[in-house]
Amino acid sequence: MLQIKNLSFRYGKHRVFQDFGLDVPDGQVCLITGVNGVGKSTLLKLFAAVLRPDAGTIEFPKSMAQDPKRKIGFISDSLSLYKSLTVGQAIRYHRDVYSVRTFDDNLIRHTKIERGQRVKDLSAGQRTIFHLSLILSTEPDILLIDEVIHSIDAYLRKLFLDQLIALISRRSVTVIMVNLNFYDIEHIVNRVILLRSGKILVDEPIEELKAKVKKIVAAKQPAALAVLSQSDFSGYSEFYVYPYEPGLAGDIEGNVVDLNLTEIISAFIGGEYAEQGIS
Amino acid sequence: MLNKEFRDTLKRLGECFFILIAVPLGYLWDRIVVKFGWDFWGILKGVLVALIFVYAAYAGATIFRAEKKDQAFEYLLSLPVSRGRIFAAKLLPRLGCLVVLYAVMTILAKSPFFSPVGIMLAFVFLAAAFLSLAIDSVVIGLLAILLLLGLYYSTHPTFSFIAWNLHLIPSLTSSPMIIRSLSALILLLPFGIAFWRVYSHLDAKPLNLQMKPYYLISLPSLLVIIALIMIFFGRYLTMMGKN
Repeated sequence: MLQIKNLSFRYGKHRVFQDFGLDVPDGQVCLITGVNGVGKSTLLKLFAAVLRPDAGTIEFPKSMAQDPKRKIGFISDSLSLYKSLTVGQAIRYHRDVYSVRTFDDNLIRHTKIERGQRVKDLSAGQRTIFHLSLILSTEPDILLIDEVIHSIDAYLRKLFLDQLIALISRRSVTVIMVNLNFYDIEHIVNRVILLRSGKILVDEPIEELKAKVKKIVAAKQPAALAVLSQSDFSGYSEFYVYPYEPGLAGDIEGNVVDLNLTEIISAFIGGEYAEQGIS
Repeated sequence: MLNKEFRDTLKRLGECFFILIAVPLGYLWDRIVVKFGWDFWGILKGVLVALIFVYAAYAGATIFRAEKKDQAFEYLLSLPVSRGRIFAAKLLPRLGCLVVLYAVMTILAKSPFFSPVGIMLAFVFLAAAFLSLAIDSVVIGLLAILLLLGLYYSTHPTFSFIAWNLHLIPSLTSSPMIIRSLSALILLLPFGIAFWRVYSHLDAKPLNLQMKPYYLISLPSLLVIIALIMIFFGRYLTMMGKN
């Protein structure tokens, strides 16, 4: 179990988290999302120990207690690597640090990456694939992946996700992803965490979330249901409601529509922007 | 990790070698314009000394250059390596290269290994290294090192005077190497402590948000040392004049 307890963190005077707590059981694939600037990447960096909390603790599973960083694979949104090294040098550097002998080039051999190329000369997608390959070569128990998957082309994205699924089923890896693009990852995510103002607004298993967030197409707002956001059209409106109660279905004058993860998150984020007067 | 730092060290050394162009230029300048009768090897020796000092400052100041330039701090900090090991991997190749260069210089000049020049060289290297996290600009870094070097030259007479006044040394010119070493140490210590405080707590936050120890430790210490110099340096000069 990965546990955050009473965590507080600030960038200078800007407070990001105050008394924040979160538990992530082993083997869970967790999606963290929220509006830009809410602290998603910061949370991932705190997990990866590249940021230090001002207060509170982050506890790793007992199997990782001695040297947690050795068992964490972290890829940041800035794709931080030594860009002046060649691909071959960067592989050797990473292998030396992690004391691993082999490097799984299954992903990079599908791209045109050559070992003599400088990392800075790789495209964003190539660099992402390369970074992911580096991380996967160390067989991490916890994978922390920031918003980077979107920069890979559709074919490589599928390849990467297939590899991730294989890794999860083989070794029960805990994956925490920060994403703003959900279509490709919807089928591998177990749990969705939506952050708002440094706090957890929603924390649900994905199936429960899908059961609780619905779109109701109706002429008027359904009573007794909390509306996250709405879109008005001539003669009817679309109401995104949460939490939806199946028992209320008979009282609703309109169509109840199931949503995919992208639509669910959009409804939450749209509602947040609407509250701020931004639409 | 060490391999990369060795490569970086040699790269930095290579970049400093441009100074050697001053040798043929100086020689031609003498032959064509000033006609002072400078000999080629004399110019070479002088330029080599300059090269070693430039290298000491450059090697120290660029200790985290790769991380800053490549924005690789996040990557470095995510690795399962202690801060001490990272620092040792960065410091040792640079220090080793400097020691070799200095040894060559002392052999060519037939001068003793332990000399004021050696202390000054170590001072420049360490001062540059300790400021490497705090200062990004090459010009500001150079000015800071020159300022510290200036202070170093005023500090050891100041401390000589204080030690003599406290009857710790029999005369103002006693134990010059020890006084010089101690002066360098006293001047470097607040920067070393601030550097280590920042470095050992370094994370992926913007560097400018992590510089507090420099303001809380280095700056007040520097002001105290400047105050001591202002009080005692003049007295030292007066005493030396009398003697």
